[in-house]
Amino acid sequence: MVKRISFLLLACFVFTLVATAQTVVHINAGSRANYGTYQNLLINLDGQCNYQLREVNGTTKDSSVFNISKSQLDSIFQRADKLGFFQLDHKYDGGLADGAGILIALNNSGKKKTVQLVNTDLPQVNELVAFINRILEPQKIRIYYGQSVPQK
Amino acid sequence: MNRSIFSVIIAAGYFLVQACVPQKHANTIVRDEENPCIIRIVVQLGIDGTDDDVAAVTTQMEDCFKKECFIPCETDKEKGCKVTMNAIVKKWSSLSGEEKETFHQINMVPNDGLPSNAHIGKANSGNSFGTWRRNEHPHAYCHETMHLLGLPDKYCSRLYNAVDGSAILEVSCDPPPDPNGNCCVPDAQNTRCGTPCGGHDHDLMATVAADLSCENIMDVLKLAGFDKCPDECCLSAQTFRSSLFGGPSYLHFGDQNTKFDGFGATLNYTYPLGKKVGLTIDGGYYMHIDKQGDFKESNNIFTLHGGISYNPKFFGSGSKLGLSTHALLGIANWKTKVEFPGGENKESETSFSANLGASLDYKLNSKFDLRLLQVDYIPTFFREDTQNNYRVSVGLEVKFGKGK
Repeated sequence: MVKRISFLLLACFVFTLVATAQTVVHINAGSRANYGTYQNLLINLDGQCNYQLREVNGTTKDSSVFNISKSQLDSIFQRADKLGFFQLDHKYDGGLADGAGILIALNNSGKKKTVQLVNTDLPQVNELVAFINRILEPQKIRIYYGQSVPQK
Repeated sequence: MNRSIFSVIIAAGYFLVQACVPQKHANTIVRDEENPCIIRIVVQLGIDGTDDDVAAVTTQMEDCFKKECFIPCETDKEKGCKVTMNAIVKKWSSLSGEEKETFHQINMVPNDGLPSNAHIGKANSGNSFGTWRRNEHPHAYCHETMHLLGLPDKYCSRLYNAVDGSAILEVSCDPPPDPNGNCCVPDAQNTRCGTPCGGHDHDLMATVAADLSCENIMDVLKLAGFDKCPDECCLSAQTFRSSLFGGPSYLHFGDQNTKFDGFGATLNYTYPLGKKVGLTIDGGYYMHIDKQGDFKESNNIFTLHGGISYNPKFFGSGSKLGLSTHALLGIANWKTKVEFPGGENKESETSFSANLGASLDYKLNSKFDLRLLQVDYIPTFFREDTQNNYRVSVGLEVKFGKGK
């Protein structure tokens, strides 16, 4: 009996650990070439954020761990829903070599969507990134995939 | 001496002018009009930025294109085609509307840490475009220019999706396979990774740390259909090929009793059996007419010989001069006709004959040689005597086939 209770408690602990560690927002933005840098932002279900700025195949240039509130995390999903993010295609490619891009992967209570842009921009993604950047502003982090560069 | 220096200056000036004159296409890949053994690659970049941007791109492209490449001939690796590269860099705003169609448009932006990009272009067709960051890696503009010239990247890459724990295929090697079976393994820490495709570890199209190589240039030429050096650049006067010669000849015919000078034509065909030895068939017809009052004597000599020719490759491989010798056996036919008042007398005799000779040719181009001189000793044995005849010919030789 004691063994069963111990096993149940252990299982609950492991489940809680996994559930809290589950990444629900992943953004990779930056270089799509064999050189340059990219940003990596992971947000788990508790709002814990893990940010890195890395060189392609190189070293980490900057990193930080911080938290956003549960309501801020929910607001990201709500904004994504409102912008029609979950209805977008998986990939939009500008047809250029090298350059920059962004991958945004969301898991809103099991509703998953991953969208990639390469050397192009999309209003829905642009607005969502602008919204996320406002949340990240206190950390002096700005997700950037070349969205300010005018597209030809 | 002065004439030589003047010629060199004129030639250098010509190539300089050719290199700087804007071309009809943003990517021009052509054989030089004057020398088909030179292939010129000219890329035209219209910089949509400042004067400093134009200067920076010019400097990097000069460094990039200083490479000299050579396409060796398949038959003779010492011979081949030279490749020259030139980038014409101009400020976009200085170009007319028509000129803009023949320049790649490069939008210069501040360096925000992201790589430059370029749309993959095509040889001898419309312009392309790209966005380049200022103060980029020293080889970045060179790498992007090679994209404008049509080259794809030579690396593969993968992205990690931390939400579902999967690796996303971003770029695959072409041709496959990706190295390590699946390119590289990204993870939650290193969410984007890339690896040079097999055999491209030191390729500019896989890493900007590498210099532009002649392999890159060859890839551009392959796309444009200029990766083979034409026969006319690979075959020297020494290359032994099938040939047909024709030309006017002088024949001195005679022995102790009879002598005359004939004029006619010679035709011969040579088929190479090896690099130096060939089969030759030689024929000719020569006439001599002597007229004194009512008396007219005509002598016509017809020769037909076959045998071996030998091409000793006496001159160097770069020389336009070629020497060949031959030893032939055959027949000679001698027809005489004497006309006098009230009658005529005709005779025809055929004799065994030989032909020992040599010829000196000057290569005009891949198809034609000028035979500067052919001298033959052609003994005949008419009327129980030996005629020590010799023949001198000049003319044109047509060459065909790949040669030995």
